[in-house]
Amino acid sequence: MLRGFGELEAEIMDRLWSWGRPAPVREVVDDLQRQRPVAYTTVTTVADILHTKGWLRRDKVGRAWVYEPTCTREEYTAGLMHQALETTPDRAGALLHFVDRISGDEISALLAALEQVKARDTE
Amino acid sequence: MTLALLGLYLAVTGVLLPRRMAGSARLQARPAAGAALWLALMASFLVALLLAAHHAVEPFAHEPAGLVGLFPHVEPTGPVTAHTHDWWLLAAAGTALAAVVAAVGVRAGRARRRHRALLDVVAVRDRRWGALVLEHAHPTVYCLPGRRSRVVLSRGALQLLDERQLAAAVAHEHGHIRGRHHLFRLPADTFALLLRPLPLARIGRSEVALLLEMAADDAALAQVSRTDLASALCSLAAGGATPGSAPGRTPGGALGVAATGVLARVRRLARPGGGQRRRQLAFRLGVVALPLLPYLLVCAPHP
Repeated sequence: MLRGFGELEAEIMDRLWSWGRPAPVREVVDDLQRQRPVAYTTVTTVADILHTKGWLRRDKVGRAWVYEPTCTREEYTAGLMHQALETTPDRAGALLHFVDRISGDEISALLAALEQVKARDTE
Repeated sequence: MTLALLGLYLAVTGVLLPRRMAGSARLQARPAAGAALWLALMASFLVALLLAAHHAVEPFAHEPAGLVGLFPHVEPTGPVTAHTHDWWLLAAAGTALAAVVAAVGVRAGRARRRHRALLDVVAVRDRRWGALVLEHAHPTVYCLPGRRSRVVLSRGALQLLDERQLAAAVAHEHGHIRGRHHLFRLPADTFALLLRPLPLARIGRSEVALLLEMAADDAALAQVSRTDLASALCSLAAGGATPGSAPGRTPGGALGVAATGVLARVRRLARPGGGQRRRQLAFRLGVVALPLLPYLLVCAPHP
């Protein structure tokens, strides 16, 4: 599903999130290389992209950059869920939902309709 | 005369017909065609609006043409310029409209791209369902349509729904993606942005959205049973309504429309369906004829 840089971005973010501490590129590369060969420079480039995008912040420790996610995975997830659930008219159509939410007193009407569907299916 | 006729036409297509057509079972029997018919009605309204503006600005450049010419009318006095068609006006109006639609489309596309970029990094891939899973307790299922489409399930949805309900929800989302439903929504959304207070805009937009949901429901029914789909709809719709989960997330104004949407969809699943193939021709005819109708009424040269 994911290819190229996109996949590498996900892998880098994944590691930094699970470690929960700032880490230099070297460490990320070493961990990635346990699964597949990956060039140090490639990871440096992608980490730089992630920094430009605002997903990673970095500090110079000695001669190397040390990277850390700006937000936790949970914060990003909450943000995405918020986008997915918000229904401002101007944004409609960007995402397509399976179903929208309803209020409590409409549930009984909904359940009655569901019974009719079941009755129809068993006919 | 011409202007009066156009005014009448605008009132019928802009106000009366939308109120009559809302929730029509005939349209719901063929939801994708029904959505196309709504879009054709919007196009027809726009054509009539442009013609009305044109006739209002240059009333005497026209001898009565179209059907108007067949009614008794005052013959123009003095030298009459032949009824010329300023094609460049039409082209300019068309280009402007296309530009607005494109702008709205670009904005939606950008929102999708941003969402997807973050999604690909944050969400976990679920190979079983071919979907991305967001680690969030709130149950929800949605998709990002377009070329690089994604189906998204929240952890809450995975916990709430059983296997068959999940299959139904995922099949529904694939129905959206395969049917390119976002391309139907785009013109309806643009029309609603341009002419917000008009019943045709307000009702038309929500009806197009609902009909597309029904079209995706039909696509899902090729793979799952009606009961599975309906119970998945009910579980998810009710799942967020229980007190305490995600309070105040959904703005109140949108609730009513959304609620009738789910109920209408489940009730539709209970109705005996199929066997309405004959209407196909009528729908196609309507979709083609509606945008041309105002032109034929007031502008087409008559023999």
